Amino acid sequence: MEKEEIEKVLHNIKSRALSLKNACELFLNCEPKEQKEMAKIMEETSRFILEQAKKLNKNINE
Amino acid sequence: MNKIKILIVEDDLLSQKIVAKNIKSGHIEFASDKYEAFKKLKNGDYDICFADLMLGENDDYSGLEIVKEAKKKNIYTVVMTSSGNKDTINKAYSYGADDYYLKGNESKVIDTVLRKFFNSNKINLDKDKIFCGQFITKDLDLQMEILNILKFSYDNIATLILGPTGSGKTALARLIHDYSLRKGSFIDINCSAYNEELLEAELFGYKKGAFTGADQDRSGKLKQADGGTLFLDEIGAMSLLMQQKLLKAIEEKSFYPVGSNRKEYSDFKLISATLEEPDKLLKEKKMRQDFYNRINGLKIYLKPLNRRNLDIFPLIEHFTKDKKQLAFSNDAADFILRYQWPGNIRQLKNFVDYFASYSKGVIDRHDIEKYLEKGANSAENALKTDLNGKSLDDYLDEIAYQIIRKELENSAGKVTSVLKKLKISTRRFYSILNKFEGTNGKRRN
Repeated sequence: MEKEEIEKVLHNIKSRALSLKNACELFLNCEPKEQKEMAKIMEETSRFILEQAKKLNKNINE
Repeated sequence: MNKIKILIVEDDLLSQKIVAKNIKSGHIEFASDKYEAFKKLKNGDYDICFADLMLGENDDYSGLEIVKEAKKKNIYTVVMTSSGNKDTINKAYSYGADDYYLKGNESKVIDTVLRKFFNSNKINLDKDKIFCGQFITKDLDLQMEILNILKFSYDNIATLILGPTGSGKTALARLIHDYSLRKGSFIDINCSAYNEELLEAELFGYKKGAFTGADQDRSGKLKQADGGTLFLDEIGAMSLLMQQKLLKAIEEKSFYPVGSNRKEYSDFKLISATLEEPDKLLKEKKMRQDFYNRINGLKIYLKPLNRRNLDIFPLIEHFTKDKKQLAFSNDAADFILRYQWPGNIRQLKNFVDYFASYSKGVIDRHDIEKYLEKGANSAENALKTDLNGKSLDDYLDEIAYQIIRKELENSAGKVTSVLKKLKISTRRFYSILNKFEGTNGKRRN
């Protein structure tokens, strides 16, 4: 994996991880309907991070 | 006011939600990629654009193109990024970005970003809309003062409005609230309309059973103003003890309703008003210094109407917008401009309402003088009274008793309704009844 590609993957992981952190801080202040919506997106974001981490892991260890 | 229009360009849905949540109000739209963003920028009329630099998994800083596009339309642009790469940030500035922030601390940073936007003079403070509609004045000095206050309306700085009765203090408070972009409501209360006990209950709310007449839990004005604005009119009438309690609530953003041991929280913007000079209130020890320091972040003085007579006819026009148009003789118009208007704008509105309902044809000076004399006589007649040997207190208590009795009849004997309507304490209520009635409820001789 090229250095540029690695940087992009790391950037994606960091960016989404920051979103998750922010979401955790806001979560309890949200209305129940908003919480449901947010929880769903948090799950999708976590999955995205997992995909990026798998991609990084696969390429680094090849 | 039309809300500030905000465009958030961000591919991360979670981040979209977070930015939107941290922006207190405004009309917010989203774009998830550069094409959607270009379309929205082309068709929309945004005041501010938040743009992520990287839009998508394999994106190559297409956010910079968004910055360029937004700049063509003179939109205030804020770049959001999780990468602190200096070259990229410098590039964003060279494309015309107005500000940037590193993702991760949105709850603290967005507030600062919006404050900078408000202070940048790029916010669309439409003078015509404000001074020909929301707060009518042609007085240039006053317009300048109000615009300066509005620039800080986004901040949570307390504002103190000074001015005589009927000079537009409430209208100005509402205007400040509208420009604050706070999502919550504008809640107002006239502190002089309540005695201390009732004022405390109104402000802090109460728990069922906290006092006679508290037949259910009730949230107070402080709670109702959460996320919005609390306007305290006639704050000079507030007792020192109430000032102390309110000061604590303002500083801690928390309070206890009357009769409750459960803390409530409220984050409100505070605007106060008084017709009295604060220096006089402080000197006479009617206001605490620490309380005054707290309510006096920004101060503005509204002149009486007779010192703003350029506003009189625009105000008359405004008040007759959906009513019959009034026509005045030259003599009448001259009289209107010279008249002192002791009741200021409120008196002018009553004047307009009266003539819009009753006038026929051109209104001349005589008509106006007759109307004003009638109003003055009513006030004078109210003072002509014969005490018949009673003390003033006894006489006033007698009047109070008659009013209470009438209200009890009108409300089918419901004491709580009467207390609420007449804004008196339960102690005063029973003290008056006991003075004039026996234990059998019948009038004493």
